[in-house]
Amino acid sequence: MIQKSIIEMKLITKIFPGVTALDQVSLKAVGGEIIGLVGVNGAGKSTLMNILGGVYKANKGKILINAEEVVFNSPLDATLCGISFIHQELNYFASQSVAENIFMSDLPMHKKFPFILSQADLYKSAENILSLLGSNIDPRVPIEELSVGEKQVIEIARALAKGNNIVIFDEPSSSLSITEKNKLFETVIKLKQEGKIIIYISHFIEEILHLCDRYYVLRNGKMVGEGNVKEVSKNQIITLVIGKEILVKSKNYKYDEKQKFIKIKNFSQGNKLKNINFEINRGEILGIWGLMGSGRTELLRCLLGLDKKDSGEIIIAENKNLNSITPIELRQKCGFVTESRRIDGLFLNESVKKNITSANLKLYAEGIFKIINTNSELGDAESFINKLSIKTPSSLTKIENLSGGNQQKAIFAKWLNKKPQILILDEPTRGVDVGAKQEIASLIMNLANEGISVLLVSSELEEIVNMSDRVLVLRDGTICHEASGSEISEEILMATALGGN
Amino acid sequence: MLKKNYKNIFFSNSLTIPIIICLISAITFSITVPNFSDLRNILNIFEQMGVLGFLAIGMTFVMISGGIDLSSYTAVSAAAVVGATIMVATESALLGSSVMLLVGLFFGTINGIAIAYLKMIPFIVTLSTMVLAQGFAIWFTKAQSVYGLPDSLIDLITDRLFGYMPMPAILIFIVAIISGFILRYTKMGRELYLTGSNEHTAEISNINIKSSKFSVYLVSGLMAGITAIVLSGIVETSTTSMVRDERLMDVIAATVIGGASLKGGSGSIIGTLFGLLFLTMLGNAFNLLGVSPFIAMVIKGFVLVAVIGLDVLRTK
Amino acid sequence: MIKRLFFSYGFYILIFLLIIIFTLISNHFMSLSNWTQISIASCFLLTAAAGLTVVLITGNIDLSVGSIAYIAASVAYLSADQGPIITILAVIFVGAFLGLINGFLIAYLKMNSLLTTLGLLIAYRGISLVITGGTVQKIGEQLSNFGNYKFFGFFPLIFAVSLILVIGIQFIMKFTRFGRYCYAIGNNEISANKLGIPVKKIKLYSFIIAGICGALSGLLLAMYLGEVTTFTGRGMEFQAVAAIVIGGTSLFGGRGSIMPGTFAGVLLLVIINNGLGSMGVSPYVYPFVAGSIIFLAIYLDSIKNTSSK
Repeated sequence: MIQKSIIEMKLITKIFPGVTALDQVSLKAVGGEIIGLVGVNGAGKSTLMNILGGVYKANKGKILINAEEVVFNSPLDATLCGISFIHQELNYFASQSVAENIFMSDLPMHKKFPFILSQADLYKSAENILSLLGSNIDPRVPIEELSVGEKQVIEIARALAKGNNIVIFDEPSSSLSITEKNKLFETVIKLKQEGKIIIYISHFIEEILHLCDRYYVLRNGKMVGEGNVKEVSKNQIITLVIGKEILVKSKNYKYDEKQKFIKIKNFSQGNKLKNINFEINRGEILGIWGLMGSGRTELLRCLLGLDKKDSGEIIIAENKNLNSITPIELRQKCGFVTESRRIDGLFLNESVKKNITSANLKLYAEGIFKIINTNSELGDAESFINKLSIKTPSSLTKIENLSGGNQQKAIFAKWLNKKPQILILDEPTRGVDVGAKQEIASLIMNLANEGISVLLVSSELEEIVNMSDRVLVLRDGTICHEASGSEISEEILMATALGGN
Repeated sequence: MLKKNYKNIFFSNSLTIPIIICLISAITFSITVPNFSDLRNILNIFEQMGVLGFLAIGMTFVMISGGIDLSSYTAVSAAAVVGATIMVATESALLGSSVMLLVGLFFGTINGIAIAYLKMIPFIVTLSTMVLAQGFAIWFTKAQSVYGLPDSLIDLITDRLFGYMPMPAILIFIVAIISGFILRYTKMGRELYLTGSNEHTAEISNINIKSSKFSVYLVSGLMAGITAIVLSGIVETSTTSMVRDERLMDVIAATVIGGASLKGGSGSIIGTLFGLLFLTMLGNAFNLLGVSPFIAMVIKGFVLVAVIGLDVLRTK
Repeated sequence: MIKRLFFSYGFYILIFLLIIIFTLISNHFMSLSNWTQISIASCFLLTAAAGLTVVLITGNIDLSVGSIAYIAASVAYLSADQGPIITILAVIFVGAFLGLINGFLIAYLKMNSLLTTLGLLIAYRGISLVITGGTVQKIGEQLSNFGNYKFFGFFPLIFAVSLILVIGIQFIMKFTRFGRYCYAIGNNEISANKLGIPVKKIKLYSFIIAGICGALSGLLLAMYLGEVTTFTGRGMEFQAVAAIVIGGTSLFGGRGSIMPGTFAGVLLLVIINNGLGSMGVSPYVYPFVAGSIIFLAIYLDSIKNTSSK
């Protein structure tokens, strides 16, 4: 009888300058068990796992593996103690083979000439590991040719190859298609059957309920709940996570159904988008929801001219006329809050003021030489900072020093400065703390109340359900369902997205 | 805690470094190097600034946008020989000078199109234009220098305002003010900084990044043309290597000392000019001290490396 | 599919076509003596570029190799009286030492490799000028003889040396841990670090290799000419980078090879120069052609990079 491995984190406290990220958090897991770790962004789950993964060191508390205390000074130490951390952002070496990616930290050498690599051994070992995972990926292929889901399998293979007994998954399903997700679940279960300890971090509560044996809920750095998955309901977990009842919808602008504003016709791109048609009314919040791989990202990118579409028309109602416009023209008319603000939403090294005014510089450019009127610029920036309660020492502070939520609000300010008639939002509350999340949600509702049309694309089902007037469910590149009114509920939407009725 | 505060104050205004470096060297050299602070020498320094200065200003624009231009200094030669040939043939300094500007703009256009519209990497694109421009200059003149430039040009360039101020320095002053103004106060300048700060964000914010990026290479090319005019006037000939290879490093170093970063989004004309002033003073001091040009080269090279080390510290 | 083929093998096909075209146009092109010329012309660039490729694969760049070549040649002049063995050892030592400096600044002090090596290019060149007094200097006679020696009357020793070096380095890159780690660092330095790969050390070694190769290149040139001139290594770093990129190594790091990659790149440039010469074309045309090909190579590199995202 093989001894089951046990891992225990006892009374872990982690303090960063100005904030207690973790307050005496304890967690325990044994081999052959899948533990779910739930919480909103900023609740502390990433910090906790980063401590387990050797990225951070706890201020107080200890980590015990098989009843022995361990101290990690670096991620390498954690790896040597049997911990594999599979991050949301996959770590791989693009141009190199699958096999090399699996065994990079332990490349097999030739028996006769120990300084030369043995390619034969490399591929053989890789095949073994892959078959253990039930995968038929060719180990010779460069890893960059694999899909996201397949790349993830390789990372899991790497963990297996090291013989690590503790595997941490950080939001693994975010970028996966439905088939890949199922494959992932199968793999995780296989690992469980091998007796490994699995810690599964996800904000998809359905996944936790489906996959895990036990769960832990973190909120504001404290462990607020734990137990057996079988003994708890989804709503109970949600309550623990948020700490209060779910947001109730509070929209009161009865948008005029006859006031159509934008019509999207026949949008297609390759086999990612197949003949998409929909309309948005003035003052309406139209939610678009679908799982990863459903075509959400592609739809937005084609709509705004960031990628080329194969076909499609955008018709907009302006001044009592119906005009056909190009995607780039649409982009100029709308406000677009992107998915990853650090990549394309912010000018990190610039001040808050300059960020806020950046999308509408022509408002401040005067005269033939287009000189910027810094006074009105400052005035506008400060009024937005007030209006949206953006917490910043001054408008001249570098925006990278602000918290995620305040950065996001500044981005909203940037677009509102343009007085757009339509706002396109892609994951508007991602990476934003709970308080700011509420503020942004209210902001969006208020804007809709004022007559601005909102296209809301989000992977957070709750957000879609709470804010949308209508919801379009995207599956496999087509709109498979349109829900409005009472039909908008998480169960119905999830069911249709997964293919049921 | 105290240490960090000092660091912040020191580095927060990126102009403090170049200004302080200039002050320290100016004082040090005045004391240790004979004749350094003579009026004649100071004017000499200004005149030298007035030669490389244009290229440095052009490089500042380019680096703010996140790029680099390795070709501007050879474009000077190409512009010079073509313009000079026409000048000599037509006896018109005006025509020849215009041609020099046009040739500079031509190479700037090639760079601009490749980098802004074809999305190629600035380093290599300008690397090849550098080779192309140099090759063109040699081909055009069959490796001969062009002599006999019209007096009107020479007189103009070597003239001294009020008997003291060299023309090139005045020109630099004017160009610097215009450039600095554009960068700091106009929409074009603002868009440039934003494009350099984050191209993706700029594109989504409806800033025309293509035209921003294109324009900086035009500016750099124009500056090469101006340099061709000024240099031709000073040395009274146009050769196939008007600006020596080592000067490229001076130009880049000046902008980096002045606060620009290879990543883009920062830099200023004033900073660059102070950076250039420092390097010019350094070279001048070496000259006056009779230091072998080779040893001067070595020291300069290491000084440049130290400057870059400084930049690394600055961005930590 | 065709696109992929074109991208991977495009330049080899180009070389092949060019050889055919030049052979057809000029009957001197395919002669033994011409190919001897080509092999001599290419070996200096090849040697330096071989080492530089390693640095590029790790995602860095070293623009000082040309000046290192000049210093090495100057060292050969300094030790002209000490005999070939001492000279060769001294050259290798100097190359390794300078590479060590480069590597230290870039890998350990985390300085920007482009600007730093650009500055060192000047410093090293200055040192060489100080050593040689800025004029031509002779090197030892024995080495000069070796520099002109040809096996069987046509296969130059110096080319053989560079060929061995190229094959050796390619072997290291493909079959040793060090080589695979270089690719890993170029592909994803953060991950490489996380896996426990000694990133700083590997980068340091890559610069030492580049330094040694640069030095050897300078030595070979001095051996061939019998002397050190101020043109030694001048502009070679830029040519080398061009050849390396043409040969398929990406400036972004993580991919590329010395053989066939860099080898093909160097060969292409040299063949064009030689072929144009055979055709009696004015020597001033070469920079244009070279510049345009480099342009094309990087254009393709940037497309390759954006499409594989």
